[in-house]
Amino acid sequence: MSTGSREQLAARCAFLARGFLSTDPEAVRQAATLLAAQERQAAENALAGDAAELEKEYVRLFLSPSGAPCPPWQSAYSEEGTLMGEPHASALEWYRSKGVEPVRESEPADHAGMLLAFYAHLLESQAPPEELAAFRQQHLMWLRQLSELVGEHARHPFYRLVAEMTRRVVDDSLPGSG
Amino acid sequence: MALTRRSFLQITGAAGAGPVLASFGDVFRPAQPAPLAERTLITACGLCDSACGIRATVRDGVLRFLEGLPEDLQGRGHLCGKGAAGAALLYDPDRLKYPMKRTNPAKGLDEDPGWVRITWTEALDTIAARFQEVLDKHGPEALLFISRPSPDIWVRFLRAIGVVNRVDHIDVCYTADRVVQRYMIGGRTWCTDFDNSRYIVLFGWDLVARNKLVFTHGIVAAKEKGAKVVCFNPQYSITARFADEWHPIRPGSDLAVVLAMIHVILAENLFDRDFVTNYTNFPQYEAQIRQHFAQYTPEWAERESDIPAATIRRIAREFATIRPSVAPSYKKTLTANYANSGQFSQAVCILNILVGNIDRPGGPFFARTISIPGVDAIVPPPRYPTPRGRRVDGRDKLPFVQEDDSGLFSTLADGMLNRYPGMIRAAFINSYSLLSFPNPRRMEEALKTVPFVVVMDTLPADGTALADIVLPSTMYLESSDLVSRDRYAPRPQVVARQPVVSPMFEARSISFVAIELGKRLAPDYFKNPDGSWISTSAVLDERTRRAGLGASFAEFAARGIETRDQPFVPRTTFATPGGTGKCQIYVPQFAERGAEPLPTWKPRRDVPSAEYPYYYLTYIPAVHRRNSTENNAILHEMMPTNTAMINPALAAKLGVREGDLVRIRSRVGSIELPAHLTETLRPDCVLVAHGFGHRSRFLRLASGKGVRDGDVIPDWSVDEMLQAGDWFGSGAIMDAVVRIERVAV
Ligand code: SF4
Repeated sequence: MSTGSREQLAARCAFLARGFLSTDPEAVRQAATLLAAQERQAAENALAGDAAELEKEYVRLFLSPSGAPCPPWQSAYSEEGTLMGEPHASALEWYRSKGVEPVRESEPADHAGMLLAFYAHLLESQAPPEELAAFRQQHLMWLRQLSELVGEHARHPFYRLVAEMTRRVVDDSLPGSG
Repeated sequence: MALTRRSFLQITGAAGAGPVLASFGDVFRPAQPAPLAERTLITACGLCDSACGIRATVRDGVLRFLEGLPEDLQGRGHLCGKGAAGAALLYDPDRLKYPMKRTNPAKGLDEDPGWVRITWTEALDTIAARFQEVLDKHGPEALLFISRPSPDIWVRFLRAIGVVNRVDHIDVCYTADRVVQRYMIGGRTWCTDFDNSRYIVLFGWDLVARNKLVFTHGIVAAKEKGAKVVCFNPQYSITARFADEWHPIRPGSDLAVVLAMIHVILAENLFDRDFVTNYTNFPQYEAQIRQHFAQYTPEWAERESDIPAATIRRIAREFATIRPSVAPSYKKTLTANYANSGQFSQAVCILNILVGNIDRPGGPFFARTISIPGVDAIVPPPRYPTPRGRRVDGRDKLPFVQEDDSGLFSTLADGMLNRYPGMIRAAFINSYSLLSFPNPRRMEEALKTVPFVVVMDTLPADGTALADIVLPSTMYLESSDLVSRDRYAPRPQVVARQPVVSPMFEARSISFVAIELGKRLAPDYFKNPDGSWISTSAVLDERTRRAGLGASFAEFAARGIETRDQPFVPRTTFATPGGTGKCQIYVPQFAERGAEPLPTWKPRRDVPSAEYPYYYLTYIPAVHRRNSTENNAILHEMMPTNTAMINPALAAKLGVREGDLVRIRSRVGSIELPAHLTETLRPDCVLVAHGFGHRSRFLRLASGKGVRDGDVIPDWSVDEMLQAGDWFGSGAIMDAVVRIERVAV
């Protein structure tokens, strides 16, 4: 990537993964500790304020029982537009190839947060560039659409930051193998 | 900052796998052994009452595809488009996923409810506490349950806490028909033996478009064998196109045609003398019956219906002589559409009795079933409290509906806003959309007066926006049940509805909710004799055993379907009230309680006037069922929105061209939608598809597409219902007249 090392990218992905998976500000803050100073500060700033607001915003964007504007599952962005499609099966296959699987069996495996956490794992475990590229190609490109939707609908600064950082993660080129 | 293994471990304190994965121990775990191979499971569709048998192919916990089950009597090995697309509903991204509670107390369609996730335990505790508070302070009458009377464990819960106000949609569907058939032939004949019918007269029922396979198979088979199909409908419906004859009848006048057909058959003595003499009370009441129908001449009916007298005469003669013949009534055929639908049901029932087709080949028949005990037979409850309190929908004024135990959607809003304002303090809505109500806007207003509302559903619906707590419900592909064939069952057949996948996210069944709320609010009713809690799976196992289907539900589910080969023996005694064992053409019990013992002409409720000169019609498009398929991605492609369909002659008169925006206004509301010109209906009508116009703010596909057809249909009070002579509680769901104007742009 143009702006940093493989480690920094992994840190961003792990941070974003938490951001997509959790509304617990502490968990997100912990994940932010690995970011470069400037990014970390931005994350801290965006997280400042009422934790309840963060949670409401999360539910409104991703889980609202009135119909959420930004479903965080890759299959929802495939042609069929429904959950548990090909991306789910493919993600599971990836996870299993590294000896893991999702804890929550009744939920789709192609959640943005899971995919980003797994990508961070690939980066960190020195996966070969071809493997990184393949995973990116298969499971990260749609995040651009998701980040656009989140960017458009988010009112809370934290999710605006998540949208922006997700866009950069997808747009940045692959880091060198070092 | 460098990312090291150490730093990740510091974050989590975990060791083992890679550090990232270690820090995501709540998300990933070590992989289990290899996933199961592809397998096939039998289950039953739950999208309409055809309940077609399904073979579901599942791989690695994911439903791959659905196909028909060859042995199934109802689907006959096929699924319709909706049924085959069931996976899209199961995997709809908008499905309700977790229990949620509102944090913003202000309710309204433009308010952000401020949803936050809660656990099931918190949800159930909160609901139980609120219900208990209402019960203590205001009594059972203050609780409103908008839900069907199923499953039986749910009904047990409602009875255990003494619920008075359970309301369902049956009045806008078939209450009147069910009441009438019970008194006239001893029960509802849900089945029709179309296959063996030679002459089929359909009033209103667009059964080919509705595409409930159980009926389409039958009528297609009949037609192939040369049966004649005659269709009365203001609209050139899909069924009308399929039929041999289409008669564009004036909306709401079908009763007149049926009365005149009875007149002809009686006057010309064309009825089935053997059946009528031996199995009905005709001999006892012959004089009254003949005298009553003498007034309804075909010439009179022509004036009411626009159907020529000669045509009515011919069809009556053909119906009586080309046998077996049948004039089926079903749901919302005309059994709920108009204020005179109860009279219509009564008249159509007589028409069938006169040709001796009741429970005979080619006619309407009672499903042959095996007995499957309910939960109360398996774990007898303590004595239920007698329900005490006021009935919010006014049902207590309608003795026949009261005894039928169905509710009244059409009068509920009036009950909540006018009759007993403020009485309802808490409401639980299970899988109903406001779209199912006539005048849903008023129902919205009514719901806003309720301080605590729980909505349980699979997808966001209009009611969700007004809820305090939302519960995610399982859908049929995630459920267990024994499904007895009841729409075409000349011999008993049972299909195992089994979960083909585990429930998505945190969806749970209404049975689960019944037991969990039961434990909290009426524990004595939810215990086994040994003091342990009732479990639905143990009850299901016992039901399976007692029905003789297998040692356990799982064992039966592995086979999936059982058919008992027994010959069809036509009924010779009919379980009508009064104990005569005969069909009642003349119903003395109706007369005893002030209703008409014989069907009597009554006009519809809303008749055209200078202000509202046109008839308003709605229909359910082939691809939709109720409102739940609207958001379904595949089906959405096929029919994204609704239009105002009008005849070009009417369009010319109104100065409306194809695609122009028109406003349709009735005495209760108005809607605006694009005009679609079509020759396929009478020029005094406008036709709008049902099931569109969800107001839920973000329902991604459906939201804002199309308008709510119900917004111009008046709801009413129970007194208005009685005034219209609607004794049997028909919801008059299509009884509206409107003005149509082009909207200047
Ligand atoms: S007719 Fe279609 S929707 Fe109805 S049960 Fe059969 S497959 Fe399901």
